[in-house]
Amino acid sequence: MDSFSLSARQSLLEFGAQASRLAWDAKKRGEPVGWMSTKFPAEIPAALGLVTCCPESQAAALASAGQGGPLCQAADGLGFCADLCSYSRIGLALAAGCQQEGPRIPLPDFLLCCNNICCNMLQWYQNLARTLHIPLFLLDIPYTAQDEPDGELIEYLRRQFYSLTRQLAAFAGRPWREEDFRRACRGALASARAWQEVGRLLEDPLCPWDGMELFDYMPVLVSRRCEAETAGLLEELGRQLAALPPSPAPARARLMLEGTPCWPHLRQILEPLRRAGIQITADTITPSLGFFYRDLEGMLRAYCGTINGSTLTKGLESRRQLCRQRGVDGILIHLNRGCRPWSGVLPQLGRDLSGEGWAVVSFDGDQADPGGFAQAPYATRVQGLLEMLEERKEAQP
Amino acid sequence: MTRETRSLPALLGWFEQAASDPRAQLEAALARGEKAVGCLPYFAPEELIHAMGMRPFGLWGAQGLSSSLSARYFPPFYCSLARLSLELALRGGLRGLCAVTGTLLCDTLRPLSQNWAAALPELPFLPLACPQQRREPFALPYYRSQLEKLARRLKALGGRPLTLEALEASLRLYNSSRAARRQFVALAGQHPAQISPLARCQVLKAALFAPAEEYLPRLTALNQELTALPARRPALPVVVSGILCDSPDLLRAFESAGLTVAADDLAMESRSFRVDAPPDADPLQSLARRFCAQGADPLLYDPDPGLRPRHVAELVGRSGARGLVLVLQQFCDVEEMEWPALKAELDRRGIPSLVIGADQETADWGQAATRLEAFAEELG
Repeated sequence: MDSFSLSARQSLLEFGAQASRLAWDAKKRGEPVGWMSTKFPAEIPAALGLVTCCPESQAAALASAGQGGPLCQAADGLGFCADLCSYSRIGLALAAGCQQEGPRIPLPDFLLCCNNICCNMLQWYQNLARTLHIPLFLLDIPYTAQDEPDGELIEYLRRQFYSLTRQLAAFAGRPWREEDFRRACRGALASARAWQEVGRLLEDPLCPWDGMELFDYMPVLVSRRCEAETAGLLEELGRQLAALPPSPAPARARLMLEGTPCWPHLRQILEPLRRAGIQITADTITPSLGFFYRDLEGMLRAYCGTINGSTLTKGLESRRQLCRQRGVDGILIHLNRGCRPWSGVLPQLGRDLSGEGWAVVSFDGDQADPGGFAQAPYATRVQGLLEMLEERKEAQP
Repeated sequence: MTRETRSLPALLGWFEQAASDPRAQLEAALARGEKAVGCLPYFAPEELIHAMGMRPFGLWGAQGLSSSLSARYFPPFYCSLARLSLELALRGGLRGLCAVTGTLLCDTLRPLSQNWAAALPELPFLPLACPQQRREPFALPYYRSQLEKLARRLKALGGRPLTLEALEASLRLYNSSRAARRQFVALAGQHPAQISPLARCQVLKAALFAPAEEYLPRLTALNQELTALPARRPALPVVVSGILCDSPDLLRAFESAGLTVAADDLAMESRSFRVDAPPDADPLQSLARRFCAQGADPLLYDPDPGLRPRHVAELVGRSGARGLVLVLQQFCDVEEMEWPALKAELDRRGIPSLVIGADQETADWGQAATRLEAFAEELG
């Protein structure tokens, strides 16, 4: 028995895959389907029973399935420069009907945009609104370069929340009910807690599964985190993972993957690590979908604290804490060409983490455009990382 | 000003000097004991800085530098404005500034704010967060609070306490400067023989570095001189769009191709002085209202997604331009993301357009010159 044959895994994967089927069903019933940015407070549409899909998740799935290249080229044909975020390029190509292969999500009837992870998100969604002639509902969370949101920002967000929920309720033709919102929040919080517990299993030095598996469940966290049954499925996954027999010995080294995975080349990226007996026990993305809060203000604060919405100081602190909790020896940084706000701080972040004793190397790639990665330089970087890890091991008393 | 210094060549010489040697302007300010604050793109609240007795000093990258020290912070796929602003600071080219301020309206300015803080702790970066829901009533108090916060930080760095009277006076001065710049833009388009594309840029760029009190009378005098001259319809007027277009070689290439800048849609030029601070009993509110009234700018959200492309196409029509040249800064997400929509609108109206890729590190503009010549032939 290994982690891939767990019944809880199959249940969760099926539950995640249902999201697009539910969206298609809603479309067939004549209900509006929205596209929603990953870090938009999903609690809001969930409270109104609005069906949403996430084009970023779809772009990641298509890039993993080898469709990133054709779709990025299609976006190029639409006039979108190859320097732009590849998720947005793929999303724009999907909206223009350029998808030839792979699973599909319905075209949107409305858009839910939150710019808490990047400014580009807003321009991307404005483009979608313009070309598809559909309404865009914006929750504007400006980047402040402050460690914590100030009271004035929270007030700005609180008033936006009331305005946005009024507009969305009118659009949906349903009343906004606090009880429905509280139920969605309870679901999201229970999912976040269960998700956190699954991640914590990686703290065990003899954890028998690899942290990259967590990415398989991301669509559930993105699209269905507010639903009542999600937490139960995650808890069951946690129980079954915890019951697996431990590894006979600790991994040769434990790594943190920093940055969005390079989906088009994930196999080439992981293969040399696995061959070297290295286990990935931490990453920055999977914990970022657990939002914890107690009330509306807390929820708004939580959605300000995204990876790209944080300062370097705060980002360093969260990585430091995660690396310590997960027993990380080294850090593999993906300098993702498709993500300006993230990659722009990674050289400094890498130096800071290296200065604190972790072995750090970076490689060039892209989250969805296969053109951004080259195997030979990557192999050299991994070799360098392995040597650093060996040196550190030998230096230990 | 004497008759001699009011002459067209003397005035243009003054603007050229101010625009091409920002360091001299900064040294002069420091010699007078002024504290200077670097103003990164975009929408810097210069009036606030001025009202606190400090000198706003424009910081839009640097010509003639290449990234070496800043490459430690930014991978190569970042806009040169950010990389070279940081480079300039790391090389000591900004010594004497007491702080740098910047809005955080694009995905390169976000990491720039963080890299700046890490690389240059002795030159504080004062962020100014900007709301995108500018048409909503709750945006105004939020943005006003951020201006207040900036004022508190400037005071802590030696700025004078902010008084209503001082801010009112600064708003009047800068509104006048903006009006004069708008008038100059219109006049420059009608006087191609006197105002080359390079001279036009220098006149506008000088406002970034020169004291507003010295800049305004000279620009007023220049406008008077131009008004007195007969207007001439330029042969090949175009609108120039983008973040900035200040490379002397590129601007000479416009001139060589016979192209005149009838109007611009540049962030460093007209987009920065299109909107005035409106009358308001509370001058800080007035300054906040100035930002919230901005629109049709690719950096900003407009509830009407068609507003921006319509605005630019209408600018081409209003200014009598025959086409549009987009000077596209390499790795500028903002301009890259909006170009397809803008191009579609221009095409729909039959307006010819050309995209010139630009980077402040570009040394050879030969290819751009050839493309401008071909575009001029197409328009001709």
